[in-house]
Parts: sequence; C-alpha cells; structure tokens
Amino acid sequence: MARGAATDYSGIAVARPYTEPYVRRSDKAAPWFLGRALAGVLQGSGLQKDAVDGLAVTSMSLAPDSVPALVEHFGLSPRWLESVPHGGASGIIALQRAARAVQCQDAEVVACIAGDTMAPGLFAEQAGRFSRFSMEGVWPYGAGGPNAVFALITGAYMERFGVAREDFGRFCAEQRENGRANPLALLREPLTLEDYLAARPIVEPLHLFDCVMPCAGGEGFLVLREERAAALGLKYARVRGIIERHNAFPEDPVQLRGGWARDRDALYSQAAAGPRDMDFVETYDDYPVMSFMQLEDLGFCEKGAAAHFVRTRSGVVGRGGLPHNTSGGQLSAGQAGFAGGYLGLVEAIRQLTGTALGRQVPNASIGLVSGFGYVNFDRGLCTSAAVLERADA
Amino acid sequence: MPEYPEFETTSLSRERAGQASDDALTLQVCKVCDITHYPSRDVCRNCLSGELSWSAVPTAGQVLAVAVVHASLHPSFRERGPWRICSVALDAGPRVLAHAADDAIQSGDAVDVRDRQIGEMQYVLIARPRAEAPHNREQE
Repeated sequence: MARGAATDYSGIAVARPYTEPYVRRSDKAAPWFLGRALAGVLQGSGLQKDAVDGLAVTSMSLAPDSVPALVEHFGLSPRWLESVPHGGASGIIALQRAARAVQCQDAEVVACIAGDTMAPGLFAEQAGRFSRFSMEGVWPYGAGGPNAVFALITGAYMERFGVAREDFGRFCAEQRENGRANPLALLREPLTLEDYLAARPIVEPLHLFDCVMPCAGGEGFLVLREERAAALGLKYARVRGIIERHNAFPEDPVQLRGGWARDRDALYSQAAAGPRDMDFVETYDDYPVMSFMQLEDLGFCEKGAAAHFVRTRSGVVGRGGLPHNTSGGQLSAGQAGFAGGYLGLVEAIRQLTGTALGRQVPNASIGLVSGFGYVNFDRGLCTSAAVLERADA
Repeated sequence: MPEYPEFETTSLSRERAGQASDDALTLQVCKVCDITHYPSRDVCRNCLSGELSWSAVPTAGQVLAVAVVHASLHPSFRERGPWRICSVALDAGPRVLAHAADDAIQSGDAVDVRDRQIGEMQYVLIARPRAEAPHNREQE
C-alpha cells in the first residue's frame, strides 16, 4: 500500500539556492566550503546569521571536525542540529528533515548546507577507507573505487537491456549541452558523441566521460515557513512530496533498480501528480547508468527503456523534450563530495524560482529531483526523490 | 598468475585471514540461522545474532558481471594493471567481488571462487572457470 497519506508539506518554503563555486582542488578544509555555503544562503535573504535556529549539514571530508564543531566555528546557537551523511541522497533527505522541523516549530529557519574539499590523494584515501565492507570486499580488487562498482553495474545493465555505449554517450552529450551554459560547471567545453566514444577506459565498460570529476565546493538552501519567506520577499518553491528508502532490494543479484521503484507510487500520490506532469527532472548522475535507472524507476518510462526515452525525448532545455539535469549535472559541474547530493535539488529550486544560472526552463512550474548514494559494498544503498513546485503555481 | 598487491586490512578481514587457507573459501556462517555472510560482519543480517563462525563453504558460483580496471586509485595496481575483476553470486548465498584469473571469464560463467594468500593475514578471492579449478573437491 502506498504511503501517500503521509502528512503533506503545506506551509513550507524552500528558498535561497546557493552554490559555492566548485574548484578542482583546494587546500581549504571542508568547513570553509560549508561556511561559505551558509553565508551564501543568507546573503540577500534579509536574515542575519542568528536567525538560523536550525542547521542540517552534509559532508564527507569533515573529520576530525564534526557537525557540532561547526556551530562553534560558525558562531551559531541553533536549537535544532542535524547531520545527513547519506551520500548522494542527502539533499532531499535534509529537506525532508528540515521541512518537518519547521512544520513542527522545532525550528523557524533551517539552513541546509553541504560542502566538501578535494586535495591530491584525498579521493583515493576516501575510496580506500569508505567502509569496512568496501575495504575487505571491493578495494583489494583493483582499487577502482566507486568506478569499479559502477562498471560492474553498468556492464550488467547494458547486457540485460541491450544498451550500447552510444546510448549513454548521447545522454552525456546532451547533458553537457545544458552544462555549457552553467557558469559554475567545471566542464563547459562541448562534448560530442565521438568525444565520448573515443575517451580512455577508466574501468571498462566505463570510460572517462561516464565518470564524475571529484572536486571541492558547496551547496545550500533555506527552509522556512511560507509567510516568513513572503514577508522577506524571497522567491521560493513548495514541496509536493518526498520519498526515501535505504537498502531497498538487497536480494537483487546486481543493482538494476533502486528504491525509487518501491516508493514512486507514494511520491506521486503525495504530489497528486505523475511523471508526465513534470516540466523538468534532475537525476543523480554519478554515472549515466544511474540516471537511466532513475528515469525508469520513477516511471518516466518502462524498465529497460531509458535508452529509447533519452533518444526520443531531448534532455536539453528548450528542445521540446523533457529537460533533464538542466545545469549539466555532476557530469558537467563536477562532484564536490557529498555536496553532489545537493546539486540537483539546488538546481530544481533555481528552476522553480526562475533563477537558473544557465538554461532556464520556460515557465517551469513543477519538477522532480532524485538522489542516490552510499556505496557500502556492491550497490548504492540510499535513494530519495522529491517533487517541488513554483510558489505561485 | 599475477602478483596481487597487499591492502589495508580490517579487524574482520584479519579474523577471516586467520581462518582461511589457500584454495578453499572460508566465510562467516551464522550459528543460529546458518546463513553465510560476506563481506565479513559483526552480526547476522538475518537474525542479528552476534555468534558467527568461520566455515569452509562451497566454492561454486556464477559470474554476475565483469569489469576491467584501467585507472586504479592504488599505485601498485596501476603499475601492474589492467585488472580483470568480476562479481559472483556464490551458491553458498552471498555475492563477492573476485579477481578473474582468466581473461575469458564472462558474465553467466560457472566459476569456483577460492582464497589465495597474498601476505601476512591477507587473502583475496580468485575466480576461475569451473572446469579449470584446482582441487575440485566439492560434491556437485
């Protein structure tokens, strides 16, 4: 039975989408990016720092610091403090926690921030010690990091559904077309199908343009009551529905679907809308195969039909299809650690407040964003998705 | 057979190594519900018992997927790559990643997965085509 009867998110505003510009490498620590993201969501909001009485934080490179350490660092005294370390599912899950806190009056203004740094050697260190399961069960087998796990998943998906590299290539090239207009994307040069196919192998069947580029950066947004946002003159989006699931199909031999398949009916029931109503979609694109799975599992097409879907419905903004990863996604912007789990949501808020940095979807009134993360062993464990709408929709 | 680099161990991988032997497959089995586990864990995922023992389990399995690591994050692998790896659904229950001992190994193949000692308290899993597996002692 669908969980669609869950209490709705009425009265909640999601505002001030902010991206602390990504850099390939940084000698700054994660709190720098988190602190700048906090400053960024407050800038021009009419709110001072001490108005933030709730803070939700996502970071994978915080150690030896911690989420409580940040409030001292940032000079905050919040009455509500949340850590959301759910990898690429984190942004939507932080939004869900923050929205409930504001609805229940546990906090009035929640800043949701994500940030990570990246230094030479840090990515290998993080991958080599990501979890005890991966240290024993994945790393000794070629030390490919997440690329190895998703190469196995991608190969199985291609074989099962008859998908070719060209299918992923077409998707990546279209997404880059969106990314080219995003001034904050680290990769803005055109990417042709030929470029994609000619790229060097990373972990076959994955090649260079299937893999996100690790980088440093931050993301954030504010969650508060609609009346407060309106009084401050803030543009904002509303929440129509949110789902999350962890370890959805543990018996599947290979991850060819995610928790979205289990929970999408609940999402669309909460949202009183379906996939065909969406003006755009932001999927979690750590690898193109995962964006394909999200399109399928969230009901935009049948299982195994994502290659056909992206072939027949352009994801490029303004081409009459279904705009998909309108900022270019992580495959263009870079992956700033767990802040990658905020990127799609921050872009969705921008699209619904008419503040896209790159290509704006004309009259965007409702959109879907999905998250995916946390590869502990041979699959991603956490899935999330949200339907958001324009405040005056 | 290539030389396999050593890697950082965990307390559980060292515990497994203490019980493992070359050309067998030694994994955790729950003393309460008899489920076989991998990667090694602290409690049973089925009944949450903390009583897990180490047992030689059947080595047979079927390859789920194959990948070739060209861009390793570890210098030893980079020098000696590319590495062919595979995921295997073991008849014993769990899924494992293993080094593919043979370039011909493809998804769907029947393989044997056995331990190989590569250092002190360090074992890795090697998948070989079922017909070529040495010491083929399992009862079919």
